[in-house]
Amino acid sequence: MAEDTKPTFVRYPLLWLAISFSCGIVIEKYFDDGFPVWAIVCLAGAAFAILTMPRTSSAAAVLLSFCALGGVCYQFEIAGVAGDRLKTIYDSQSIKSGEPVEVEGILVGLPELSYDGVFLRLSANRLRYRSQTSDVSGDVRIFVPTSDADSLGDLEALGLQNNSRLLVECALQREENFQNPGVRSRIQSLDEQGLDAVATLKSPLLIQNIGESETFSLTGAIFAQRQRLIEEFRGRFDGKTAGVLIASLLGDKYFLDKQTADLFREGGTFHILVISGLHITFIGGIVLLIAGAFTRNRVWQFLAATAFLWSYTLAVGAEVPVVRASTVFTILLFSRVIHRQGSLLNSLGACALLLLAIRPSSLLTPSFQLTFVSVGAIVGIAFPLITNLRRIGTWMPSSAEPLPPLVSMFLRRFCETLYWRDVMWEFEGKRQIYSGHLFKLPFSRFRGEAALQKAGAYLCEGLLVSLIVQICLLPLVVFYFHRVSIAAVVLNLWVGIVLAAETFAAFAAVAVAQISETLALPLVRLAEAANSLLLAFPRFAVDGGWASARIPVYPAAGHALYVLYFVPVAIAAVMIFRWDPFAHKRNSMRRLMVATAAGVCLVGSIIFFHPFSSPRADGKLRIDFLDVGQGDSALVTFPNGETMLVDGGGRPVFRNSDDESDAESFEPDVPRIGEAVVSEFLWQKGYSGIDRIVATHADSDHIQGLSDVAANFAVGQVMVGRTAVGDVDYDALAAVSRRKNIPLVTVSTGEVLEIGGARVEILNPAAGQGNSDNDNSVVLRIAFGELAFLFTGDIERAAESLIVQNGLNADVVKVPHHGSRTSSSEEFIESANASFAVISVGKKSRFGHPHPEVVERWRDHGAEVWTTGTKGTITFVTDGKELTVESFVR
Amino acid sequence: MAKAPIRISVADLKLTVVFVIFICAGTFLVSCSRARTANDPESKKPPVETAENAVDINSATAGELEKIPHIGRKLAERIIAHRETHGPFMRPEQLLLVQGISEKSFREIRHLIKTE
Repeated sequence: MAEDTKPTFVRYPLLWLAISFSCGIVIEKYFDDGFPVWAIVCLAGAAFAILTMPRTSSAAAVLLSFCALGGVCYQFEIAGVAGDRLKTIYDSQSIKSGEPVEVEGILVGLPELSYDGVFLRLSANRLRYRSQTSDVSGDVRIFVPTSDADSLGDLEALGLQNNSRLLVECALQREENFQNPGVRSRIQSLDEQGLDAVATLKSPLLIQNIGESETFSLTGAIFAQRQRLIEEFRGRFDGKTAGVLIASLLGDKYFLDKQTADLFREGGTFHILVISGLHITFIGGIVLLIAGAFTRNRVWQFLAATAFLWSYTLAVGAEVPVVRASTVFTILLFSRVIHRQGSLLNSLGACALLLLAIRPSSLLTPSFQLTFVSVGAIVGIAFPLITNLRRIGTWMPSSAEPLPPLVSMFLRRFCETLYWRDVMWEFEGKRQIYSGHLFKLPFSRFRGEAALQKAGAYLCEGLLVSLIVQICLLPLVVFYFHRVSIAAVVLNLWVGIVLAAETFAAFAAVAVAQISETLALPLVRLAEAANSLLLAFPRFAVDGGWASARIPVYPAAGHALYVLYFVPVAIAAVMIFRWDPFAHKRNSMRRLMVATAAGVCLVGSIIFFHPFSSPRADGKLRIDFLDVGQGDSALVTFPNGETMLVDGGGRPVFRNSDDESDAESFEPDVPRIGEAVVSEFLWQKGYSGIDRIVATHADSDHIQGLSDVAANFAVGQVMVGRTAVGDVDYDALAAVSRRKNIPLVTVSTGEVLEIGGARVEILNPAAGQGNSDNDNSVVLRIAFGELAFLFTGDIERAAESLIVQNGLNADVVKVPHHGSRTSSSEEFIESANASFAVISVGKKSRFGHPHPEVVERWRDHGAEVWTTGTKGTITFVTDGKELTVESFVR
Repeated sequence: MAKAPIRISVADLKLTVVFVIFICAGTFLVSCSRARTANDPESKKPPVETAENAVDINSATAGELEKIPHIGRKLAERIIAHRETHGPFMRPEQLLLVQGISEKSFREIRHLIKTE
């Protein structure tokens, strides 16, 4: 074995070093070994390696010392955040998040345009808080609305340029919002974007441009160029086409509408809308091709390609994935320049090592992992496999390979169909002194149709690459996106090809339009047609219901499964990498291959079909009140394991009365509460289905999220009090239920359900028709053993006085209407006689909820008041006698 | 040996073409950014003229603040609380930091307030 390892290490040293470096980071992250231990291990490893230079053990020592180095670097990064960073200031609570401050800083790039405002990225230098000024560092992102002509004019009057020095008065925010177990931390995602804080301004009037920087700069010109192109695209193409082009070519995703974005997500092709490796490779390839036509000098080619690539990277905002992709491409090109055998694996290792040395924590980000696993799969598995298939298909006797490949007849025929051409053998026959006939038996013969055969070969190779990438990414996409797209294998090819065509058409249109608008018109139409073609196939897949499946995650220790999946994948990768169809020695490879394939399938299907993820019957009633900001959502898990979701949160959508005439108004692609919070929480608990969902009434902050839940999970039943046909959010829920054949039942006062030993009474609304307004909210009383819980929706005084008639007596009450003063009347509170009052409301409510007098009233009656906005998820568990309560934020 | 210079000159030609393209692109970029900066001063709007009897929001009492349109009792109290905790307003626009003042109403009262 030792003989085997050594040459591999020497052939791909950087790959191995990168792997061991990453191991160090992971170990440090999860086991926290402390700095001195790492430093000693690192030095000892290095010393040992130097002393025992030529042996195999010294290689192991080098790897060990790199592993330790990874740990050290990670620790340095964590501990090395400067004291004047905004991050530090806000995390230590010296200034509270949301307090008004004055930030002075340098504008990074130009304002990022969006459909209803602009985003500024400011590198802060100075901060004034309560008349005290201090020097600070760190980046902040500020949103400036430009909803009307006045504010747009004010913004333009500021004359913002790259590197302008700005003074902004704003309330910087750096705090968590939806605090539920498993839901992505907002601070963490800010850190991943390199941002310390964010702010939303009321008006551009709060910005001052101090210090004019009128001088010309190349970077400024590049940014200006990009903005000009965004405007060009917006002005010239229809909304959808412009959105796709701007996102995929210029890296500004704010013009994408939700419908299109979701289509791409469901098809597993969303990565094409985010500038990343694929784009860089494509653009770099084209530039290289053009440069190659002019000069054969590799240095010039390298310079031209990198210069263009990096200015592009800069122009699209130099976000981390783009920089990463450009770095990989540059390193690969550079290895060509210095006439190294451009081993892709080694370059990949070098790139990973470089990026990790700069920011070790990036290893833990989804984007880094997705990039390197997919590129690794292409370079380490797909390319070697395709090379071998080609060799099999084009084999003819030679001194190096005198015997035909040792593979099954089926594979041989398949490869020959793709690659064999009789012409090659005829040509070879003329060169050799001998001649003969080769019996190649392709499945079907392409005589004289080389082009068709070539296209077929490319198509098969594309599908193979796409399939391998999908297989390797399986655990990552399940873990991060809870979605496996089966259609992605085909759709990626489709979208890639059509988008490339659309891109060329669009650029041609813009270029021609500078000369003549009329001449450009056919090109504009062509690009728009390409765009509808681009969306047609994914839509077909989505409508057919075979685009993608939503998959929950195994909680806690189950995470190990996702790492475990990579073990057989890695073994398979090594075997495919070393596979030589012409090596005529029999060994046990075949058996091992079957074993690893079985391993991949087994772990893959455990992940995909998640047989162990449904809730267990533990004889306890459990209720989780989720933190959905302004809004309600609670998950009830009955003693027999059945589940019921009462409301699903949501964001109220304010529509302008002018806009309503527009049948298809623009809906921006922002994460919805039902998807990003409620569904995420359920996935992280490992649920793939919910037995019942209850929509108490049709307000957005209660019902909107339920349509996402109904779309993402297998739902047994939807319960409503009143059917509110005509309400946008209600119709959305009804549409999803119809599509997924979920029965929709209306419940009313007096109905009782027995679920797993718990008794669910419905106390409101009275049977009949009517609006689904607050007072017609569904009120549930869930009794189990000696304890009872009351869910009240948004009922107000009128409904409260109706339901108190029989006495309520509940231990835990969800305070009606988010603690508004329109509800929680004396008689209601008295009748409830609760020990816990839960208020479901955000940290800051637009409506001022909860009203202080209501909180006081509950306290006066002896109830402990818990608010989801400050406590996060609030969980009650009871066995019928004892009641335990805990919250996510302690 | 005689052929070598000819080959190089072909390469030179191609290089020159590349250079010309680069220079064209460069001038294009420069002209674009020049055009932008040239337009900027024209688009600048004249500053808002402050009325003679404008209220100084740093010294005004709640009663005086309430006389300004769009400002009620609650808002006036909040304005005073804001300047007490966060120090005086440096310029009128900072009034927007106070919760309850919309951009639209601020534009309408901008000429009625001042800071000293």
